[in-house]
Amino acid sequence: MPRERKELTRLKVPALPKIHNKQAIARNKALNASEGLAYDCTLAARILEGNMGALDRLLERHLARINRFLQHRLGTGHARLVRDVTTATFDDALRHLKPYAQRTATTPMEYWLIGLAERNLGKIQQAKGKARPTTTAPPSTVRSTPKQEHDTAESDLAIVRRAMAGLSRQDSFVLALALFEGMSALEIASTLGIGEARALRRLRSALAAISKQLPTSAGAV
Amino acid sequence: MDALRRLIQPTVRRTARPVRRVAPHTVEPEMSRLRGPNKRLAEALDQLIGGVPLNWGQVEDDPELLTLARLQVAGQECRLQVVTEPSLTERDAILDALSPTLDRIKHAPAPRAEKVAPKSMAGFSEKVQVLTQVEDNVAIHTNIPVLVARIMAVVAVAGLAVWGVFSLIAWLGSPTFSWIELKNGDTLLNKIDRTGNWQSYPCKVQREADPITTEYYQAFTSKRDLGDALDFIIPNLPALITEPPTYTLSLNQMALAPCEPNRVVDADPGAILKLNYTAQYTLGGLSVPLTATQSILPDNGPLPDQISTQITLYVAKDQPTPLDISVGSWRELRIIPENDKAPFHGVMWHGKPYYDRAGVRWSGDVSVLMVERGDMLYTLIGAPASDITEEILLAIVTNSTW
Repeated sequence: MPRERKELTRLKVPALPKIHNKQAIARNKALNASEGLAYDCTLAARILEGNMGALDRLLERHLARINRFLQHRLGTGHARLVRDVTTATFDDALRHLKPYAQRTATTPMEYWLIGLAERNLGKIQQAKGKARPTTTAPPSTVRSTPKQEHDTAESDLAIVRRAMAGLSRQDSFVLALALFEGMSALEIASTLGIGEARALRRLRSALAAISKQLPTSAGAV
Repeated sequence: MDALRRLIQPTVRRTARPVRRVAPHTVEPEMSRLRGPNKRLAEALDQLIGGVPLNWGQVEDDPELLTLARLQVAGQECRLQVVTEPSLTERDAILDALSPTLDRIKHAPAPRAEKVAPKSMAGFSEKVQVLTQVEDNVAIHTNIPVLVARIMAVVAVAGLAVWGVFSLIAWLGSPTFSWIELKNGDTLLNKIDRTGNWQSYPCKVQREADPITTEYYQAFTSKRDLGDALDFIIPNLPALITEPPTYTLSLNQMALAPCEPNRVVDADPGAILKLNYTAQYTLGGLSVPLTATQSILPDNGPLPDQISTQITLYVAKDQPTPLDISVGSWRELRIIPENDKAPFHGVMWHGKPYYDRAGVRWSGDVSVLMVERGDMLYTLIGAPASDITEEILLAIVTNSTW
């Protein structure tokens, strides 16, 4: 395994083929992701040939990012769920690596994997019968209880997480990308696999939805 | 202005060489096409990523931006939280969990290479629209062996389908009998609808399994004794058949094959009855001479007044009886008797050679009428060369009193 990894580190990465998708080209240029995408494509091709070292290298590149996203998304105390979703995400990714191996993929692998992680998170939560891992109380109790509004012991993050629990999964996801991951409009669009304008419209809609769930005045929030 | 620039080729004053023209917007960075609220939101996100909070002027008229500004504290709090990085052990565990999937991918068949259409020859541009011509309809990439294989496969499938349909029709059209078994070699050609406990008698099972077994018939002179040894009533053929010519039937011989050879018991359920009848008709009453009659008449000497022939009748109860139809011709028939009883169902076979149940080989063509009704089976045998035609056999059954 170490020998394979060493070989892969010195790997010559061929350039990506010219893709006639102006939006994708502009997005990759803005994200400065073309080089990383080309390397991921090379790794994907090796993985589909059955190269274990390439899979190890791919995990080394993206495991920490997916782990961080899931911990941000779920909060603390969900280590087992994070591990399950991470494994399911990379398993799912292995079975759909063909566009990367054929060098026709346009989305940087990091954002694609985050999208897969969100999808697998939804599946696993649905299978376990849980509505939201971040939910600690029903959304209806969030807004209008005076006791909560003046409870300064509760952090802003906890309040926002509880408010997000009352949103749809789509709104919750786009808000998590913007707030917890600190993504730009281009990155959000790349993760969602849609255009930038459409991603921003979705973010606006999510912001409007969460504003109804937030308490009227509570600390900075 | 751009149009004018295209018309008038600009030149560099010193070198007087034409300026190399570059298509617009190909080297410049892509400009954002966002406008209005989307642009403001995208700029706000970029600003927040840079760590600069949104000012009042940005958010005062935009409720969504105001919400975004309110949520930033929570966002920063989340991003500043300590996140545990996956350890090497965890990574190895995930790697181990993924290895079965990797093995499956490795052993999956490689995707077939797609055929790449040849590019146009040098000097011909692909961007020039060429109208469809007759030659373009010719498929130049046709793989002839694959095409032939496909056609053969389609023909084979169609042939199988037709064969299946015909087999189904033949099976549906085959007659259903209780005791008659039409056999072509070892193949049973009719459907069987049989009840009863005939299989509890070894003699019946053996007769059904081995149709050429010779049975030993024991002759009887007394009809009463014969009736005692049978499980059914002795059927009598009509004494007179009015079919032209008029036949007179008289019982000539009675015999019985018991279930166990040489052991006659009362009401033997496995016994088979054999009756030999003599059929006589008068030549003087014939208006049309029969062809068959000519063959049995003596060549020399005076014509006899009467012609005598033989008809044999076998009667069995609950006895499956095979009939070899690999030779000769046969037809299914239903006979409605004149006594208004239930109709007989059976077959008329005509051909040669024929061995009856007693092992007697009938010479020449033979007509066999095998009919069943309920649990009874009647087999009438006559030789057409002796003027026992199919019509006579049918007339006997029609006029029977069974």
